[in-house]
Amino acid sequence: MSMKRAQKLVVELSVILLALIVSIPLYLIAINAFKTHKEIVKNPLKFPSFEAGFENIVNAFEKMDLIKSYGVTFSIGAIALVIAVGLGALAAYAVARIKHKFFGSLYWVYTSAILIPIQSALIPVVFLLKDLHLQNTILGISLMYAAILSPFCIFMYAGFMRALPYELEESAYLDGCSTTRTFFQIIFPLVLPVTASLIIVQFISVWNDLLLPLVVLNSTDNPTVSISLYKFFGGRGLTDLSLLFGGIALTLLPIMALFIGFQRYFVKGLSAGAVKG
Amino acid sequence: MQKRMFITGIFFVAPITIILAIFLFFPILQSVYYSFTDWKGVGGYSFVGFSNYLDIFNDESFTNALKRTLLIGIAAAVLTNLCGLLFALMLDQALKTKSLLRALFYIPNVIPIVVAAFVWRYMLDANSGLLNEWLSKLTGDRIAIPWIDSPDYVVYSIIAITVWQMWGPIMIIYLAALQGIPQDMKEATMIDGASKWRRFISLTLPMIAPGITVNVLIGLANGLRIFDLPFALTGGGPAGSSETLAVKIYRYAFSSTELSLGLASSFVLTICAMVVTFFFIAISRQYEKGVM
Repeated sequence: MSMKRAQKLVVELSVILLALIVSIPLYLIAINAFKTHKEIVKNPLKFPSFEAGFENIVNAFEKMDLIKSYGVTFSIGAIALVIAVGLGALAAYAVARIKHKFFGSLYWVYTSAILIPIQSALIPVVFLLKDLHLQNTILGISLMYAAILSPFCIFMYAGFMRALPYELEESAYLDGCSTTRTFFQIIFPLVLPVTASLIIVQFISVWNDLLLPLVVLNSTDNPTVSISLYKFFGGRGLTDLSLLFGGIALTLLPIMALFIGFQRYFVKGLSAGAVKG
Repeated sequence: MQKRMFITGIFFVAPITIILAIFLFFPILQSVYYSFTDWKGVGGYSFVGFSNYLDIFNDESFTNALKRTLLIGIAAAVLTNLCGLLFALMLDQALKTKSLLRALFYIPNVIPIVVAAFVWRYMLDANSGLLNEWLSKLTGDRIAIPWIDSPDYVVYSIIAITVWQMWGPIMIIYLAALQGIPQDMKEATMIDGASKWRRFISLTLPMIAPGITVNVLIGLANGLRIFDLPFALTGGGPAGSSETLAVKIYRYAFSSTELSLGLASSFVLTICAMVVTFFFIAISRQYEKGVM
């Protein structure tokens, strides 16, 4: 028994070591945000002496116009996800629960759309947005994200909904419930965990995306967080590391808070849909 | 009843299908159509047959980008799955620190690529980077490998960073699949006295097969369309040596004279994604059939 316990300890220690190694970039961000440029250059891994205090973060905040980019990015994510998750759940219910060839093949259409790279549609979409007067608007880019993200939402929802017992709906139908009411009152509350994880995972992917804002939005009118960061780094090089690390810490903060706060949803949702689907 | 349900179903799928049709399916068809013309975005156009395709395949920077993209896609899919599965197997041992470790492994996935690109650029710098400094200390020699600034290394650096960035979700899916293996089956093989490796091959692997399929598809899909990382890390350089198809398409799209080349390239990318994916699905179907 003690042999086994020792073995387990070795495994645990090696996993911890591995986890620490892969977290070095995160560690660098966390400590260097509180160091002066000189300190960083001298010894990047050393724990900060807090000589710089919060100065880096305050400096970066003043230079980056972050409030605006936070607002823009948040609005895009919110609109895109309401559409992708809300309409995606509706569609998933039909393809997962209605036994008909049409819906069966539609499921495969949605699923194969996950694998299509957005670049395949990108150039015509840019011109389409122009024609619709949606170019350089938050609504336009949000609709694009909704189209990109919804196939995966449908795939996850459908996988989860298929695993629900049919008795649930049958009793509802016997009570005279319509399909629509059954969906909203019985099915949708049951898939809330998937909804939560989809929202979080996809929100982060919108928050971090670089390609679409680069192509569709004008970075002065509608800056997103990644574009602001990209411009912020691009113009500077490595001459003022303390300011750069301050800027990084500042943009990472909301994402990390979101991640730590909702960690269990990441785990639950990803596993629920993908394995059963 | 059946008919009413069918009609309700149509109402359920219609809204998102319309959005998908307008912003995804229809533009893809348009993209294919225009790739056979000399369309410049505005004004008229005429058909030019396969001339755009001949142009891009005669352009070495394009064929190199194509090969590079396939390499990155396949390498990223294989390596992220190996790492993700390894981490999941280790975390599945009922460790005390499991949830903390799981979070640490997952975090690279939530760090914005722009940030990751900057921090890795800083760590992999040829002269002042941490990696070279550690390698120098380890070997005693002064090592100054240009991980990012040399065409010989940059692709491998991109693959490594991509793997680091993608293994989180993949690990989570494997963890869930592992936890789905019924306890009595595990115990039965243990009583049989099967070796660890044998147990892994004949019990664990078949049981998590659906998870493998999903994970490899995620890896391929993300790897083949990779844009953000090369763009933010090197801008495609040095001398185009880290340009992927997605970066190439972006460049074509922003030059009006080469717009139709961009369309042709995006169709090539779509075909690659499709072929690689269906090839893989066919293999995994065979495997799942064989073991179940």
